[in-house]
Amino acid sequence: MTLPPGSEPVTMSSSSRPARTRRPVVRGEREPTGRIGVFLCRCGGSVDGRLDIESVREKVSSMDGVEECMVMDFPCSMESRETIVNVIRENDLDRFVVAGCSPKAVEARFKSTAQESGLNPYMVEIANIREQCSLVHNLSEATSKAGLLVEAAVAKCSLLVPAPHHRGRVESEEVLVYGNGMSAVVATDELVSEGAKVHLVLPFSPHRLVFNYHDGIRPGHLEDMRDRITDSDLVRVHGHSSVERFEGEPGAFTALVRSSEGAEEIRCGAAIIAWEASEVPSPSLNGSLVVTQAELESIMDQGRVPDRTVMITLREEDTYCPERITHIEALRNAIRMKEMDPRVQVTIVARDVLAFGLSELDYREAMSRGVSFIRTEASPLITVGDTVKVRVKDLNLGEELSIETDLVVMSSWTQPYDTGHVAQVFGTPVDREGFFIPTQVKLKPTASIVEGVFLCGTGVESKTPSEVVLEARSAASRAKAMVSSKMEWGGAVAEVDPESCSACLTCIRSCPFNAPFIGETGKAEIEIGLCQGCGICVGLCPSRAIQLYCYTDGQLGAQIGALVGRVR
Amino acid sequence: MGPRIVGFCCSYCGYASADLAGRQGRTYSPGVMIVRLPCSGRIDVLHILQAFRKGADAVFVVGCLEDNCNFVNGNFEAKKRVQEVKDILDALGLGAGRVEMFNVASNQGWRFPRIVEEMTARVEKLGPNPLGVIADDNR
Repeated sequence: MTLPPGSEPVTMSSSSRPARTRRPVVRGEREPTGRIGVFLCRCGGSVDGRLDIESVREKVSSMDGVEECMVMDFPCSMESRETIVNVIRENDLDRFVVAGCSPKAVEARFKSTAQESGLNPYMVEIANIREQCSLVHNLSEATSKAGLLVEAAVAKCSLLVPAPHHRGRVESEEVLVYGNGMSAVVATDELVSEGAKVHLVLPFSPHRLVFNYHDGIRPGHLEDMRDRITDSDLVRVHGHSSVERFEGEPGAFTALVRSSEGAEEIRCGAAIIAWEASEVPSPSLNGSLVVTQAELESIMDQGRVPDRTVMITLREEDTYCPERITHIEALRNAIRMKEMDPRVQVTIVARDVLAFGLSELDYREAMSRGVSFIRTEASPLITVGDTVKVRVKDLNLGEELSIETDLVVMSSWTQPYDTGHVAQVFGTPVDREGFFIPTQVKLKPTASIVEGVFLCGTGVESKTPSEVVLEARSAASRAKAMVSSKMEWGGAVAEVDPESCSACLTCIRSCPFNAPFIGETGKAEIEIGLCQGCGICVGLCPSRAIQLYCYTDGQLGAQIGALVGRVR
Repeated sequence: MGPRIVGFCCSYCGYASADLAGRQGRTYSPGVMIVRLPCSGRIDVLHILQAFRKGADAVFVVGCLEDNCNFVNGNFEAKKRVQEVKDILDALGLGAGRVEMFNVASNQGWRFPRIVEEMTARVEKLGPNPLGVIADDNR
């Protein structure tokens, strides 16, 4: 994405955030009694009317353990949830089932309802009788299926145990930013503007931070930002330093920062790895006739434009090449050359021009200004004599072309070289090329595998400077949000039974989030703050020593039994 | 109600695609019972075998698209376990085709009914689960 010159994404400072108005009432959790309440939803006609809810109620109310079974209009509404709280208290229920919409839509609400009525928030089970039943089956089918679904939910619910959960303030509200360039500066600036205390760890002196300008960022802007953060009271800059050790859990990490003057332990609530890739030295540059795009820019800065130019934006097969970035760069420079002198010939050799988003406009403009494009698969052959000849196979013509030119411009690439050590210290994996691997680009942008550690910069993926700015700000906002909110963890988390654990390390090797570790007793333990509740370790454990709260083998077995083990 | 089929669905993609199918009104056989898992990686050989022992005619596991799992590699773990069950079913003579792993995205509501169709067709070919009769008799 390209931003208009001088503009920057709007940021939300901490002072402009609306205060939370409603606070949930949390009281001491009650002792389990095994008494179940079932609340069936009519859902304004999308459940009732499409299935016979009364017959479901009759069927379910006779089940063992069901003390109360009632049909409600919208259990998820505020009034109905107050009714549920009262019913739970009056009947001394310790768990309940809600049958209605998908749990994905309503689970969070009923968890807080459970908490408001003094129960563990994970003592709720939702039966999906709308999306997966009443909306897709006819009346008689839906009625009998809904009966089974609610029975299965009751069967699972009767085996629920209070799950460990914790809600508290973070131990440290400081954020560690470990970086080597632009994204570190932008992330630190964003954190400072939101009022966070920052430890900025740099492998060199802060004055050696240099920036790459184009793509709409005002020249000097980043230098100003650098000076602003190095002068800020909120920022402690650790120059010539590296992070040697990083451990703990979200909200309470400890980092060992080593500099030439010695090592220091830093407490922080979250960390941002803001690593920039460095330029790959191009192997085949040959004198002044073959240059890089950056060198072309400096030639143009001197007011000179060669008559004939060929830009090559691809590399040998199987080598990493961020084509989108090189194409954006080539298009921009080709347009600039045509602007300086419309008579010059510019040819761009590409596998396929990847200019999407607003750079599509650059592609159109380059076409209309007469830049020619050659589509090819293999890297062209360059021979340098008095002039330069480029031999390239044009896929559209199906013929080999030999182009005589005055200048060949090769795209250069960036690649992170020194990320292996960082990755090892923080426990975030890198790929074959050395780029950090983000977990979920769409669902959790900037998140790394380690909860509380965020990623940004070109060390994650090649991107344009304005994308770097956006991403660094996003990482900073997420880190700040994390350290200023109350940390919540627990719920569906895995737990090891030390009696059964044989310390075989299977869970430690299989966990994507580095949550299991061998504790002081020599048995595996799971760090509750890092466990994301996927349950991968549960099925792999050869000693069957691990269980996942809310999805134990017993609970799932009861659910499966109720769903299929019936004569129909 | 048609063949008894159990679908183990990961919360992020499989379950969400079934929900979407429902909201879009895409109908499928009512014999399909969905069990929600946090991630398809939570599936255990035990759960699939339990379903067959109780009389399920077919079982399918739905995870996120490959390389797109919310828990990094849960769907690959699930795939391995489904393969283990296939081997067991073959050894038992029940037919490896009774169990299958699918990968869908949460926005692919249209795929869920197709998965059900596919599994229903397989049950029609393989016949009902012989263990279902025993499970029903013992009740």
